[in-house]
Amino acid sequence: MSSAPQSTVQVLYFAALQEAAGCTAEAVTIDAETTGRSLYQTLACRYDFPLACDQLRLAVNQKFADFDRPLQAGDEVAFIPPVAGG
Amino acid sequence: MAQINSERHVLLQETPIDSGMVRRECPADGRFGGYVTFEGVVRSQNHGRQVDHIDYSAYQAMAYQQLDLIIAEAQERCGVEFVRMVHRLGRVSCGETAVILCCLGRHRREAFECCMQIMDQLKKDVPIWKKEFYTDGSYDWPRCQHDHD
Repeated sequence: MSSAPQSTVQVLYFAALQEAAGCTAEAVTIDAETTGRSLYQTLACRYDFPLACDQLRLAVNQKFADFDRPLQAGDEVAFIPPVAGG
Repeated sequence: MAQINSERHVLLQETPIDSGMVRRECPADGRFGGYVTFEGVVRSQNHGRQVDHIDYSAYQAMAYQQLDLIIAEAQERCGVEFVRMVHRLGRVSCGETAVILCCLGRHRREAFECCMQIMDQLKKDVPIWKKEFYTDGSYDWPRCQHDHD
C-alpha cells in the first residue's frame, strides 16, 4: 500500500503569533487526521507561541470554525488571538 | 419587522480618518431623521500606562466579511437602513480617530441602538488587533475589555 499523499494548508499568522513565527504566512503539511487544534499544538511547539489554544479562535477559509474539525488540503487557516478593534 | 433595503459601506484604511468627510458622504436626502456618529479615539492612558501610539493590524479579508455580517445583522434587528464605518490600520497617535461609525435611521432610537450593537460586536468578532506602544518604550497586545470599553 502506498503512503498517503501529503497535502498542505496555508497558515496565516497575526498579531503576537506573527511576531513569534517571524512570518505572515506559510504552507504547512497536514494529514487526514490534522485538526486546527493539533496543528496549533505542532506550531506552538515550533515557534514558542505566547498564547494557549483556549485563548484563541480558529478561522478556516475566513470563517470562524471548530478547532476539532479535520482540515482539508488547500484550506486557509488562521489562529485568531484576542481581538481589539475599535 | 418589515424588510428594509439596507445599505452599508465599510473601509479599513491606513491613512488618517477625515471625520467630516465620512459624515458628508452619508446621504442627506430627507430619508433619515436620526444621524448617530460614534468616533473611537486613541487614549493617552490605558490601565494606568502612558500610551504613545497604537499600531492596528487586521486579517483584512475576514474583517471585511465579519463587519458585513455584523452590520447587516444590526441593521436588520434595529431597522436601520444606512451604515458607514471606517477603521484605521497602521500607526494611530493619541487623540487620533481609530474608528468612525455613522448609523442613519428614521428616528434616533434605532440609530443609537444600531451603533451600540455594531461597536459591541466589532470588539468581539472582527479580526483587528492593536499593538499598544507606551512612552517607556515597551508594548503590549491588549484585548478588548468588553465590560467597559
